[in-house]
Amino acid sequence: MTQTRSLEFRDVSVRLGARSVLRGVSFDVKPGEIVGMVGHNGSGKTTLLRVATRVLRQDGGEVLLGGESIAGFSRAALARALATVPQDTQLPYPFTALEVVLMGRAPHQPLFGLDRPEDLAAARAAMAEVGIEEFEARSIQKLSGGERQLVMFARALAQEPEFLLLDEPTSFLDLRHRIDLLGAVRRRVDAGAGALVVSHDLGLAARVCDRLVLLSHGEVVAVGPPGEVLEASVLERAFGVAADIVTAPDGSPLVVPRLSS
Amino acid sequence: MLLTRSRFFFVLSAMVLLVVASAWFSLLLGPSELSFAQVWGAVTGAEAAGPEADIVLRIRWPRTLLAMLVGASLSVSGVVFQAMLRNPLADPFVLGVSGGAALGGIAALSLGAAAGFGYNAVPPAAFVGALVTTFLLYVIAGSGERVSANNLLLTGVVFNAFASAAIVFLASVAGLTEGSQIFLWLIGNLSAARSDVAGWVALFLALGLVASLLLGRSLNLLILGDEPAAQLGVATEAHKRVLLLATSLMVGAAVSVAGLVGFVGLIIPHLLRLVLGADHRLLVPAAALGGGAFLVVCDSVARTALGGRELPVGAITALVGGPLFLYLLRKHQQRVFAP
Repeated sequence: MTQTRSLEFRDVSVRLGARSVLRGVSFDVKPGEIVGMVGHNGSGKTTLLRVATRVLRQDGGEVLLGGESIAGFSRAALARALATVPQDTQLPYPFTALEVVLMGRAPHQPLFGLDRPEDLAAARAAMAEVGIEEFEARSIQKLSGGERQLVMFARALAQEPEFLLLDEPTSFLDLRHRIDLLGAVRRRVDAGAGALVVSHDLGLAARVCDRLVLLSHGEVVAVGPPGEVLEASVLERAFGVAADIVTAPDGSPLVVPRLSS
Repeated sequence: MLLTRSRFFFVLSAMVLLVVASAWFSLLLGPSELSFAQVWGAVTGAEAAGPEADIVLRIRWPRTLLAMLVGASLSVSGVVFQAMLRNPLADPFVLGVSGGAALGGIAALSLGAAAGFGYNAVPPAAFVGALVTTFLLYVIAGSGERVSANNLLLTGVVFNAFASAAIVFLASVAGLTEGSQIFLWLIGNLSAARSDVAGWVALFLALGLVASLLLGRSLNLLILGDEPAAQLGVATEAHKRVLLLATSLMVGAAVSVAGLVGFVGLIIPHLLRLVLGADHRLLVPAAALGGGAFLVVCDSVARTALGGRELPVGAITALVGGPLFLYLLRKHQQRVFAP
């Protein structure tokens, strides 16, 4: 996939009731890069993903896709451009894993009708890419949290979006599957997509992401390459935790929090 | 189970056979004993005249058809409610939507008796009653972020209690209490079904069914939750409004001819999901056919089980559905489906 549109947040502000959740958030995600979004719990990361997919309306600012405000996109057009993987999804009915992955094809399909061969091919390719072909006929209700997460990720791949928006995509995954999933994200990005990944794992974020956005109390504290964002003084301000930054053998920064401050 | 074209047509063909078999069963059964050949003759037109043909074509067939329409309406409404509310216990009767429709219908009857517009006003009034109740259900029990099963069911229980009380009150004021007419509305039966409103019922069912069929994929996606569905391209608010109208039409249709027949929308979708899986593009048409066949069989039993006396069909469906409901409630106890 080759694309030229970038995803841009321009001065986005959100209030939920009396609480100001996001204040003047501005940054962009370009095709061909993975941007990591880090920050403390409640810093507004998930809220920003909801604004990007227009399931939550911002109170100020706008989200632009290729320079156009997403407010003018149809739901389906937006879903063809942006795919989200939620933190966790539980379903009350016994859909099979393949049926769930096929749901990712919805924005490409007409309103009514069965799945076409190309939909099936895209869904099966996505499952193969994540290594879950053997789940095909299994009920989503019988899968573990980590397995469900892989299915939801495969669904986002089947959506063939321009941007992957991933909310803690690896929270239920073991080390092996974390690396596999992030490898799949990297392959999509190398093929021309962009990715915005929310993560609490600063070490993994530093290794995988081209740039990091650090949010604190709804504001962008720092944007830039991981080496610049993961500074002891910046982290102390954002998380209220003192930490040492050491350099891993591959040169990426590792954050080692001090247990007593 | 992957929904292929061949599986889709195979399953629906089998369900059509089931409907035909149930109709045949219903045409054969009744106080006057008719032979296979006599029913066949009447149906095919070979013996179009005579008392046997009259029994089959003028008495049993209209009632069989009505049972089919009512069963299909209730069953499809159940499927749609269960998807929209993401709750396998949702059923138009349990949620109180049927009660709201009955209240609307009785209100039209009571006022209509005074205004003189007769029974034709009942189906539209039942539709409005169902619509208002569904709307209130959404407002009171909530539908967005987290709907607890308990919250929803409690609201339904209260709606039902209120609707029953209001129905009895209205009927008493309007003097409709003679001849146990109200009792029959409250328990649900087809013995007094008015075939003069069959056109309304068929129209309402057709509209509701077409909308539910067209939005089958949206129903699948709505089960993920409103936000995930929107993120997959579903115009959730518009589709939910259409589905709300569709269920209200179908429930209104069913209630205006049969009263409060309970649990059909719970039993059939549950059984079909066990056999066919959860894909609504198949589940909706299968529920229409399965619900139709089921109520035809229940009504045949209701007509004949006690010899000369008829049981209300609502008593039969409740005897089957009540225990199933309790089983499902226990299975899903304390379970809250978050998006």
